[in-house]
Amino acid sequence: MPKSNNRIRIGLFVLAVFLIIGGILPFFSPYDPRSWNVVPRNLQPSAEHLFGTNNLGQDTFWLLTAAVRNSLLIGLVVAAFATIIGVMAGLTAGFLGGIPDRVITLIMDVFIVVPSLPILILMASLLQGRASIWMICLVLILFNWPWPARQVRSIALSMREREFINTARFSGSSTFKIITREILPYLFAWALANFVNTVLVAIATESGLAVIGLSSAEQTTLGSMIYWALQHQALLGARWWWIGTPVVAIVFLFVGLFLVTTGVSELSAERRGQQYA
Amino acid sequence: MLKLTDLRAYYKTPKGEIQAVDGVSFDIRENEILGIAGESGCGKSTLLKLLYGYLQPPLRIVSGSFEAEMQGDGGKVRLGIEDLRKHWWKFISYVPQGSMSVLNPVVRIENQFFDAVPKDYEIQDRTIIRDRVAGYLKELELPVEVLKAYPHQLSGGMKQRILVALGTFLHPEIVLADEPTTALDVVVQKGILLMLTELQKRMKNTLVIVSHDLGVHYQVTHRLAIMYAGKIVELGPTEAIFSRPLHPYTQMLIQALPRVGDQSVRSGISGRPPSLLRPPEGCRFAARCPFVMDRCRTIEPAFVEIEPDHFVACHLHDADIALSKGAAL
Amino acid sequence: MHFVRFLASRLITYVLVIWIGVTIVFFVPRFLPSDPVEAMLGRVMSQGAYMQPEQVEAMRSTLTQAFGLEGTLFEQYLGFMQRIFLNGNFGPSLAMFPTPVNELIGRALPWTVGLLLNSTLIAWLVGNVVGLLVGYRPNRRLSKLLETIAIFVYPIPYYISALILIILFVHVTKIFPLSFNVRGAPGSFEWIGSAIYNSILPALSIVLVGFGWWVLSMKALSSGLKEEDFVYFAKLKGVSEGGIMRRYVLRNAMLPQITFLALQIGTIFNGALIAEILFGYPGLGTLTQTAVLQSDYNLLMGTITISIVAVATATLLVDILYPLFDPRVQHK
Repeated sequence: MPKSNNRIRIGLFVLAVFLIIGGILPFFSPYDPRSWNVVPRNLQPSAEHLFGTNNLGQDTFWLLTAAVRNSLLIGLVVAAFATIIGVMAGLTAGFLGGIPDRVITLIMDVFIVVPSLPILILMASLLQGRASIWMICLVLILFNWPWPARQVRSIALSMREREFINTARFSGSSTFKIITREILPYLFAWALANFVNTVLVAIATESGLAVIGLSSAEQTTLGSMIYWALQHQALLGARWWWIGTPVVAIVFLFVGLFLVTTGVSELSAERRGQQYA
Repeated sequence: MLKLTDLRAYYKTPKGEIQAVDGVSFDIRENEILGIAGESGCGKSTLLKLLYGYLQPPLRIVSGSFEAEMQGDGGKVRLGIEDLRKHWWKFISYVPQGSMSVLNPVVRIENQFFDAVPKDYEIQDRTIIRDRVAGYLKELELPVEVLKAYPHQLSGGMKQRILVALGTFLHPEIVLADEPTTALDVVVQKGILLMLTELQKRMKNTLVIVSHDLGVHYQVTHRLAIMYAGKIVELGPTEAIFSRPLHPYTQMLIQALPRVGDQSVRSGISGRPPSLLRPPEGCRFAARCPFVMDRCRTIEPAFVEIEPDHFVACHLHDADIALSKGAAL
Repeated sequence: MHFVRFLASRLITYVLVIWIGVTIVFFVPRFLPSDPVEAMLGRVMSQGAYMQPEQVEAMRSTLTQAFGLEGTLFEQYLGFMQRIFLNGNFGPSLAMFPTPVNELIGRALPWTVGLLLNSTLIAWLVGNVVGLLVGYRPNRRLSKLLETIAIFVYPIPYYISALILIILFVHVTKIFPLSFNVRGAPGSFEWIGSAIYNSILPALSIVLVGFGWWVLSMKALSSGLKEEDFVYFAKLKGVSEGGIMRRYVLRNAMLPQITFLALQIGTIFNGALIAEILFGYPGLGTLTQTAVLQSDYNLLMGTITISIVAVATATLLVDILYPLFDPRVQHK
């Protein structure tokens, strides 16, 4: 029991750190992340430049804050829409059954099996770097709604059969009460775990796209930080701070997101186990 | 064959010790069917685990003695409770409730049999074992094709029969059956009971049946033990218990049984068994007993033989004890 | 009979998924404000010498035809489908004219398949075994350590682990080569050894992350399974611990693990694609990158389509594995 609480605590702490880095700090940034040569190049970390500066004359630390902010935004936007669409689709498919279920399931299968990255690469390369961040988000939403939909659908299916719905019905509760009392808490935990997980997947996919240079050139994201570092031979030049910062940031961000996801689903599993023990 | 003397076994939990089996003394004899009856939570499942020698933490023996005697190669062999494990399935076996999913769902039935063969059994060759099992199934009038089937393909009744076959195919001296008829419909129940009694008659071994259903005990057992809140409150030949029940709890259980032709309203027993975490002083049935006396609440009644081989733990019979003691003097 | 129905429904889904996926691939360029012909023309003209207007026109019509962009949308669609499914032909590559795209893909695909197959297999095997042990004895210190490692490794995307490995083993400690460089004649032992040596880091990046997945999911499964009634009964029968772990817990855990694997194939592929690019590994990933950089429309369409078909096929194969492990689907 304490284990999942620990996970959530650590995860939330890490996420809080990132939210501060990405949500609050960028407003204090003295530099525009898109401009180059605003500071002397290739400086080592110091009090003035916490993570040093890079080959393009940018302050790594403030660049990071902008990158985190954009990556988080992408993640949150995609996750929000994907979860909403996914939950609605899953509920529809699960409760209606029959043909609507078959059709929705087929569409879900398509977007689960077809890997998102090739399509994104196709799109981005055809637009030759003019791919807007919103188009990328749109495609990400398209490929990520099936995951929450799948789980919600199977929950809806099992809820239809579950005995306690029948007993609740027989004992006279209205359908609305059944839904709010029994189903919603269960659903909510799943939706939350899925939401956080989708944030992770969205940021990961977009960063993957950015690392090979195909993401939107307008915004700095964690992935594009890596891309620029690679392009400017950060590896060969042993500029560890430049390439290391976004890499380490991604690792911690994702571990934080993951801890929250699994923590939430473990906690809800335990609560349910206790309820019906 | 098995002898328990004042055995106490408790579960250690964070909340304290659950005194599941609290001072139980009786013996299990050769060539008999012994029943253990009681409500859920009275400790009969734990008692069964003890009889089987399945001691897993947090269950532990606090005090008392446990002796077993097995037919070895050169004569009778004495065993302690820890030794039973080595002789599982050959000396003593366990038939669990069929309502639980005790069969591995991804494995064929014949493999469930192979699993049960002890490592030191003379025969390890699977083909020979399979033939033996097939032959045994035929004796029991079970279809041999069942061996190649998977558990989900069997009906509830068939599964229970297989579990009985599984528990007896090595002809053990003691067979422990845990609620063998629960969750089965009445017709199937009869079949299972018939199967068990036939086997016992044929093998002349001992069958211990645990069930909350007194009707089952009435039909098949030779001796019967009534358990309540971790203690045995009455023990004796089944016929004696049903015609002359000595303990109020036994009387109430029997009265609750439906009888053909009897139109009167059946009454359940009000109240609930006491918590085994902090059992009350004195007789544990005192709270629900219609004949409760003052001393029942403070002094625990002793487990005494009132008639030949008929024991009871109840203050109502203190007079008889005194009488018989007096007579002996 | 159950099995046949299962197989049939899977096959139908497979065909539909590929069809819809390829249709998406077809429509993406046509819905975007892009014109591959103009793009190519622009490149050619900026690179080379001046061309007469007639030459430009001639080139434009050749390109339009080569890209399959002639005619109405419907005609193009039919032509596209026909070319791919009936002829299996993606046309000539422009970056490496006149090598047909098929040949380039044919050269790259085995590398990708080899890498993915091997690394996924290794990660699966090691991860499942470790996960089983960790789930069975969760309180040992080693178990907790392994679990923590898995938690840390699980959410890392492949390209990040690839980058970390590159930083550590190529630059900081110069153990592995900078770029993918296989020596020796193809097929010779030297070649095989060199290929394996160069593939170690790419494979490792996938194995490390995959390991995390399997350990954690297996751990959850095995710690749940060991509470089951049939495990309890197995203990009563006197089955050894090893026997219980193998025949009872593992066999039953395989079922959801296979399902999980089928769902992950898309993600594994995504990550592997980028890792390949980072390592310069001669598989589909680098080929796709070449297509992108050179605006090679045909090659791009080819690699993307093959990616989709490959992933769909892999998913189908794994899906079919499932009934082999679950008798409830095979026998009714």
